[in-house]
Amino acid sequence: MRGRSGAGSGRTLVVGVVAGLLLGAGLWLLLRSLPAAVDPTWQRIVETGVLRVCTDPSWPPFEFVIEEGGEVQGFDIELAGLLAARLAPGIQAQIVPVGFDGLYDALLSGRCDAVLSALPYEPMRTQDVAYSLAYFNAGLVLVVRAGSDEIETVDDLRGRAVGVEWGFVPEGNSRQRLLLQNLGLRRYDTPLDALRALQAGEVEAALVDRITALTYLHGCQGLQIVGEPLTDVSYSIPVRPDSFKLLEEINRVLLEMRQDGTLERLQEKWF
Amino acid sequence: MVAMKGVRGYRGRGLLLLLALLAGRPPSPPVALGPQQTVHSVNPKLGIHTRLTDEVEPWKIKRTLEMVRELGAGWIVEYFPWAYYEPSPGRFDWSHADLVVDHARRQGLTVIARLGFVPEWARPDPEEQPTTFTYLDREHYDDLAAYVAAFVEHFRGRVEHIVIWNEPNISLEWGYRPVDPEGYVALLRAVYPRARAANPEVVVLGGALAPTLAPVGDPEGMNDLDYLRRMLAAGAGEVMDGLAVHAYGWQRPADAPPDPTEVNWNRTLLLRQLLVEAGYADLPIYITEGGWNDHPRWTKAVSPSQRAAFTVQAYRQALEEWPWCQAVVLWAFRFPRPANTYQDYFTFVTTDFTPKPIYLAVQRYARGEGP
Repeated sequence: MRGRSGAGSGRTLVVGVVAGLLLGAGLWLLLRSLPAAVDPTWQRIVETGVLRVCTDPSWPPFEFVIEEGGEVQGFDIELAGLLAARLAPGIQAQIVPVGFDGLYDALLSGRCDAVLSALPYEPMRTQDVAYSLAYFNAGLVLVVRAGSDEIETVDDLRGRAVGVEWGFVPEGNSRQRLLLQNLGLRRYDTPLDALRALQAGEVEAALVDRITALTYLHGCQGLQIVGEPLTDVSYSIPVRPDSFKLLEEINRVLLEMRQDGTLERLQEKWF
Repeated sequence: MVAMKGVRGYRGRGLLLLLALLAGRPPSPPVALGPQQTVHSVNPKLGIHTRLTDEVEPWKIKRTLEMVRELGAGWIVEYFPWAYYEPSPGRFDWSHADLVVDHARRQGLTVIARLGFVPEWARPDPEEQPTTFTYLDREHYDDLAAYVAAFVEHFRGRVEHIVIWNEPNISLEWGYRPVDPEGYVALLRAVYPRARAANPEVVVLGGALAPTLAPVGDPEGMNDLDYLRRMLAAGAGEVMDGLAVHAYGWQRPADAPPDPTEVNWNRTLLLRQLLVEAGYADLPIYITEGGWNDHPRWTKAVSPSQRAAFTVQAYRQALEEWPWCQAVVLWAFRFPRPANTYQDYFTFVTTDFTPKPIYLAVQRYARGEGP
């Protein structure tokens, strides 16, 4: 009985392997014969040579309208041009001005192919749009007076007077709330006021968003940003979920731009 | 066979065990109303618009209303959609509305009920004419009147203030049709006597107009001042007991002077002036929406510190300088889930009930602690 049973198992194994191989080959042939998935947005961009980019030009230095001539300029606008040119030869960016609260609707209704408008990544929207890699972090940074070597991290702030914007802790962000526990916070009406207070010696450090810090530091002497941003407010480029090829190409170019210093040069130019 | 029997036996016993567990499972604990509470506030006009229409968990309803009381707000506006409570003609289900109203009253709050949202059965056949829930033709005004009467009767002694419709001066709130002040007054005329017959004490509020600078002929809406002027000319003053006002400040402070060419908090004074000019100086105003937004990017927003200062100033102004204003109910306390738009920056607490700085600032004022 045992021997007969062993022979039966062997035959079953061989039949199973052959059947599996045949099934695999069949599936491979079937998949090969299926048409490749098409990204309609990418197809149109390549055909027309135009990448349509929605932006709300009211957020300098990322996007703003210059008074003479009404041209839209800024970090994001220049990035859009450079990005388009690197997507594929001959592609140009076309800026589509849209009000801030209409940016996502404009993208989803097809008025543009991507949004480049200092938009932070929003986890709650990932069913509706696909986000690119981040190209700028606007999170909180620690600013101190130049030459102040006593404050190198947020841990060095305990017991010190720290300037912040009144009500600046983003809602629901428990990580930021934890970060600020045990600090001697002094609240100012705006983040600029907190930096002015730092410069005037009212506080020993300031915690402000990176955009305000970079803008302020550009025009003043004696202050410096310490370390990397303490929170993550990553600006990203949303596209429609079916624009998978466009997203892949945008990410490829952003990675190149990170590596070759393009993003850093843009930051130096616009702040 | 024996083995099969064994498997069946185990399955059978497992099923029986599961059923027994389910049957014996204690029901979800009810959320007790708790003891009667009182609102403590230096400003009896202080209010906040809640958004409990889509809040299904009783403990969240209770927590919301507790936090409203702890804020020092004695008034709330809440939305009671017609389509939710009368899903078919004459068949009412008030269970969710009862839950909200009973918890609100137990916290010592006065409820202003906003009524609207047309059910499908009171709208044209969608095969022939697609419409939205803001579409109501004159043939169905009596249906809304019947709902309002049923609501008022059911909540007699519990809800004594109602707002009829919302922002009828903008097209999207008027079924995407051209707005029609005289048509809205006809709606009030149909509703008012039925509501008062159901409860002679009920205060029927009309208006709740959207503050807008829409130019003449704008398909999206009509300037609220023009709209109210036409409402009053059509006899609105005779079929409402007060005017509901939406008072948004946009980027202007609470003391920005009234100006017909600007949307600001004191636009309320212009609406009041129209009532006076039309001979209805005795009609009170209830602010049923309003306030400021502190989104970092929205073009009509202000900074968080400005928002707090303007809001406190607005509450104080209504208390000290506006005797004709009965309540100041600002938008909005909390959303059941994030909107993920600038709308989230109108709220006083987050979805997870974390108080925002604006909440704490108003609370300090209501306790008499703030400047």
